[in-house]
Amino acid sequence: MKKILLVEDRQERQSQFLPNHEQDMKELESMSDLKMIRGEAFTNFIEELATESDLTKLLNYDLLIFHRSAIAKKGLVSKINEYVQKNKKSLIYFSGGITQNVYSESNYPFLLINSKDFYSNRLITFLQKYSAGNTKLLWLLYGDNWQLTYLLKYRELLNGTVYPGNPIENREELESIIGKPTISDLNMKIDEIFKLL
Amino acid sequence: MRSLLLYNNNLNQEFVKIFDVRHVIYPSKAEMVSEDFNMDLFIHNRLKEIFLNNKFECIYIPYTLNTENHIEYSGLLVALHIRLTHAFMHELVPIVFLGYENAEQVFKVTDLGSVLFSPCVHFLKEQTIEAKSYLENWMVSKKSVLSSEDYNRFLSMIKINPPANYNTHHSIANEWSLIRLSAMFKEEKDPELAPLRNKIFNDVSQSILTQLYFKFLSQQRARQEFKKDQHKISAAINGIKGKSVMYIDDEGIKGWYSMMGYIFKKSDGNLVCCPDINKDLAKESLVKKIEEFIDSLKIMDVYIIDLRLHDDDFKEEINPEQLTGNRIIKYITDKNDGAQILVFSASNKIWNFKKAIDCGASGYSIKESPENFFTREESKEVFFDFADEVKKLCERSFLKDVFSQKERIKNNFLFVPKSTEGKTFVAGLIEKKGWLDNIYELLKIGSGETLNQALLICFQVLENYVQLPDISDFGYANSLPAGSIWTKASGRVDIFNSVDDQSINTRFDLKFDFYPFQTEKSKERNAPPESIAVYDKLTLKSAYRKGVDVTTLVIIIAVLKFRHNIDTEEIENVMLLRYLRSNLAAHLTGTVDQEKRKIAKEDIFFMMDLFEKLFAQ
Repeated sequence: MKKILLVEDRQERQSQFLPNHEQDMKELESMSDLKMIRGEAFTNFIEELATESDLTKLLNYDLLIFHRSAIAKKGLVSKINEYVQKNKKSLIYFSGGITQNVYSESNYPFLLINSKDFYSNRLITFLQKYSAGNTKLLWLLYGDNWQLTYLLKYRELLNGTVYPGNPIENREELESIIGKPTISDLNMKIDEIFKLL
Repeated sequence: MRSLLLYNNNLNQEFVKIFDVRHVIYPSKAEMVSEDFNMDLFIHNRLKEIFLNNKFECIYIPYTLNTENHIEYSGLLVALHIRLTHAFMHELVPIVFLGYENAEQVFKVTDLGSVLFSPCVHFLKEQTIEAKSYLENWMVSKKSVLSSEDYNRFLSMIKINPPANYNTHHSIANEWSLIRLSAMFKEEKDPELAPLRNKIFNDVSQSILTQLYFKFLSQQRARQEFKKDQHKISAAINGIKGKSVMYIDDEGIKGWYSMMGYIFKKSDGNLVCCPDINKDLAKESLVKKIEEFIDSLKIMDVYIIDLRLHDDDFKEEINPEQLTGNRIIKYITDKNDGAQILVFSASNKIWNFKKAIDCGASGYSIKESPENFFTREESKEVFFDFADEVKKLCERSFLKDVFSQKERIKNNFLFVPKSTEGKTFVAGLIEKKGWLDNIYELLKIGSGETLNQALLICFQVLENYVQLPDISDFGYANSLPAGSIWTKASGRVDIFNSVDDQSINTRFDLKFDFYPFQTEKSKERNAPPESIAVYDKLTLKSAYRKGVDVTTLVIIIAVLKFRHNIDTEEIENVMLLRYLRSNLAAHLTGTVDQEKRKIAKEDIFFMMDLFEKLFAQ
């Protein structure tokens, strides 16, 4: 099972944004693979992170989730970025002021997400799935339709787009996720998913 | 056709080479993980560079610019920035989207897809020179440029949602009104204004004016252009010199504290801002922290408070009484009912206003918001309204002092009468809703008539007090008038006694003269007692017809002078006020020219000071 750390200074917002408020909070609190650092406990935790040079407190976790503004105030963003890159963790930053969600896989999986999208009705399922080791961060954005992004990219690739990096590796990586559909199968599958959205 | 391609290495490379002008427009990983990264700001700044001194007739953008998330559809974001930013000078240019999806599919993934259905938007699936040429020839033949009518249609069709923080912790009005206001101040040559504007534009504008939602609202409202001569206003608020003001706003550090600092400095007022309204604190801890800050300073002339200071305040079901701002208002007014509190909020909800007043606020001023249709002229009015409220509350700040004084008199009350009349008097004075409370409440209403009423009560107190058996003994001995008072040490001091009809032993004499405010008609009668002459000891006066007799005024003077050692000057002011009490406040006898003299709040302050000397010192 993968371990997840969620660091949020504004506990009230958690309950305010989660669709089922207190009920969802209780469910989050009951998840054994999720450690939440919230509210006033946050202050001590962040102070300790700020003084720790190697961030060993984060070592046990596979996915690190932070309220970005809160750690930015303490100047911890660069330190955490370096740590995540070095230790190949997954990272999510959420914040109310983020106007566009951004996802990247290069070096390490990273998602920058608006607080409201983060505390969506997908969050609990995402954390369960992630912990069980069978989904990517994109699931949080798109649910089960997250594979659409790979199907569309594969179609572009088949249509002549050359993405940065090694073209063969690019193609092989995509095929490891979605298989090797023909262009007509691919179009059919894409259309099917769009219909279901 | 001079075309521009905006992309991110996610197109057919041969197709890319067709474009003379092409720019990659997507952040690197290092940029996107940085602590202040914001996609709107990134796109805005890149487009600003690209469009600087350049003019294009057509812009090509792939649906998505993220090579690792095809359904991010960030190309739509770029297109909307171009359409909604007048400064780029390309808002009417046709936009061509590149990609294999159709518009309906894209719209299913993101609301930004609404732009795909707006005028002058075209699509190119095949990334070939032929397809591009065909499309451009068609656009030239159709003269594909957005008309003003098309642009309005575009604005009505697109859907742009506010970022989450505008749904929660603060309204966009915070930044909006800050930017509008800072641009209107006329103190152009003030060396302090330029850095303030720079700070606001750097801290606020950069993150807000570059935000797509903000641009959308601005365009949607079709705001008036700023006219330098018509719309400039002074930052200074007249009439608040030396007044102390505390400002409590959770978003204060994002520009409002600096702005208010400037306004109050220009007004010669003294502003204190409540620091560190930490959003990571639980609500109770936050309330306590603000209360501690308030208690750490002397009571202010005015408090300016935002209503929603904590995340919890944004819950839809919250009882307005539980809003952090309302709790702070109640805390302050529970301690001092006379504290003057101005609610300064983006909320225009009437129930929030009513509850704030119930909790003890004295005024309410609304921050300008783009959600309302405010013109520049109305923006000016918003500031004038705020300035008027601040000035009005500063003028009423005496109430906090009167309230404190009233409570001080009650808490330090020294007069312990033995007589029944004395005990009744004390109860009537200091109990809840007694005379002292009544005087305060009448001052709070503050009109001319209530000041008259307050003065009447003041003399009711004084006259009742001086005639108590614990205080004085005035009457007749052998059918001749005589009077004495009891000192605090219970010693008896004779004030006067009549020797016969013509002679009197007295400790003071009354002097008679007209007051400058008396009407000419009143001067046909005798002059009133206007001052006193005090003797060291009982002094024999013959042929005496000067007014020292068993009258209330004489008893008042005797008690003030010989029991409480009040200055002669103050006693003469009591005599003046008693004249006004009888000839203006109680009855309009026509002897006072009201153009020259009315009952003023300062008269009541004087009487309250006197009561403090009589009862609590």
